[in-house]
Amino acid sequence: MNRSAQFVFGLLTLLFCCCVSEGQCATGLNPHFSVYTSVTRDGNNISTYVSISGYTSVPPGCVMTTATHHVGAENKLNNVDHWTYSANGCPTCYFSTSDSEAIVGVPGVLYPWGWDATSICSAVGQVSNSGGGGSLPGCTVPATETTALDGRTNTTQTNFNQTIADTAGDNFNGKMLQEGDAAPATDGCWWPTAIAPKVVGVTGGPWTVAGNNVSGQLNHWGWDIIGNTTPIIDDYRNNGPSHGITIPCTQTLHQKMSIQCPSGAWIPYTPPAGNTITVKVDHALVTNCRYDMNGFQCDPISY
Amino acid sequence: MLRSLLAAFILSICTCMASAQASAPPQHQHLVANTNAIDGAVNPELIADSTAYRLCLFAWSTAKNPSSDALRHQQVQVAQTGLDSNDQVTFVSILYDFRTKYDAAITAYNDSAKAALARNETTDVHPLLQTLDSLVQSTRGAINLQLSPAGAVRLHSFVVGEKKNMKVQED
Repeated sequence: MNRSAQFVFGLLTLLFCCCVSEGQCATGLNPHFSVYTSVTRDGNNISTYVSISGYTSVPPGCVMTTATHHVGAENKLNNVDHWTYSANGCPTCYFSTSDSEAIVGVPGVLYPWGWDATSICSAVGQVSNSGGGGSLPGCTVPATETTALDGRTNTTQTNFNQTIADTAGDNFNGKMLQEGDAAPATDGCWWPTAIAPKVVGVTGGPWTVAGNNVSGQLNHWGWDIIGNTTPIIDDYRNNGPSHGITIPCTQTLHQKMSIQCPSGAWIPYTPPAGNTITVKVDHALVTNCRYDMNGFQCDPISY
Repeated sequence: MLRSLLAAFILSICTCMASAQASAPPQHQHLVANTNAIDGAVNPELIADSTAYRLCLFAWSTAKNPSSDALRHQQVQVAQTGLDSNDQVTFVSILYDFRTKYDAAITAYNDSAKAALARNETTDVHPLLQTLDSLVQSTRGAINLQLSPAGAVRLHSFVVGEKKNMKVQED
């Protein structure tokens, strides 16, 4: 009886002190976690993403046999809270988990977003924690842009009429658009005494969707007037060759299109390389082209 | 005899509890002992490219048998990089290969860590970290080899730009 009691006493004490020593080990836990968050749009949806991955260093000599660890990623978009947790694992295990959410953004609405990434030990609670967030403008940007010919200005300049759209068929009427340079322009028709200045970039716009020359046309913007006037073309043809210009000559511009969000920020919607605009001046032909996100239109003009 | 043993046990428990209360932190206290935390929004230059690639490659890849939501998320993320459609298709294939090896390396490490624990031993995590680094390097090699030169440059620029959205606690 006495031996049995001693054995039970010893076992209970050992077990209890093991638990306590794990708690003491936990005070020296050293977290090594990386957190990555991102916000993306596809012209209609707003997607948010939170991930956490890494491990925890346990102090030398500590063997935590009963504690378990796990990590969690919180993604609270528009006040809807989502947590994704990894499975429980050993204290020195490597953990990864992530959470992605998406909503349809409505222009003019600000969506609250909060995120949190945490690692948790069953013995002591949180081992590490990181969080952040802000407001996401529900400003959707066009996902497509197509170009159509819409007449000419000054005989040799082409009026291009564009249609923008996204997957949800959003109405962009009234939104402001502007152009910028995605890359430096090149002007193969210019020499220092030419009557026209060297083409170094686009002029900037701006345009109002369904306004200006395309008033009332749903999701249209324009005109994007491309080309040279006849006196400039005459100058290129008549005086260019004696100044080293070879006819045909070409001018190339790289147009970055942006749309203005309710916040006032301009958000580019063309690919990083932008649209490509070319103006080719030949002996009896002028060709103005606009290569957009989805295709191109060229206007060959006999002049 | 039994009574005195019981008293001694209770006494030892009380002593242990007092000790534990003095040393163990309360629940939900943040025990961020690692002082090498880097906020990429403040010091992006302190985050290694290999770390940024690891986080992005993990974020853009999908686990085995992905859901339709996971595939949609991947499509949006990959499109966001600015790669053209041909490069996107190639890159998704590279991501699949990365994730398969990434998950396998972590599963193998975690299995060994659990087995070591069962023997009252701890595991060295550094071989896993080296494996993950090597995996990132070989994946970057595949990106440079298989994507168009412009695509590889664009992707690198995008990954480096994403450091602002990363928080890293390194060794």
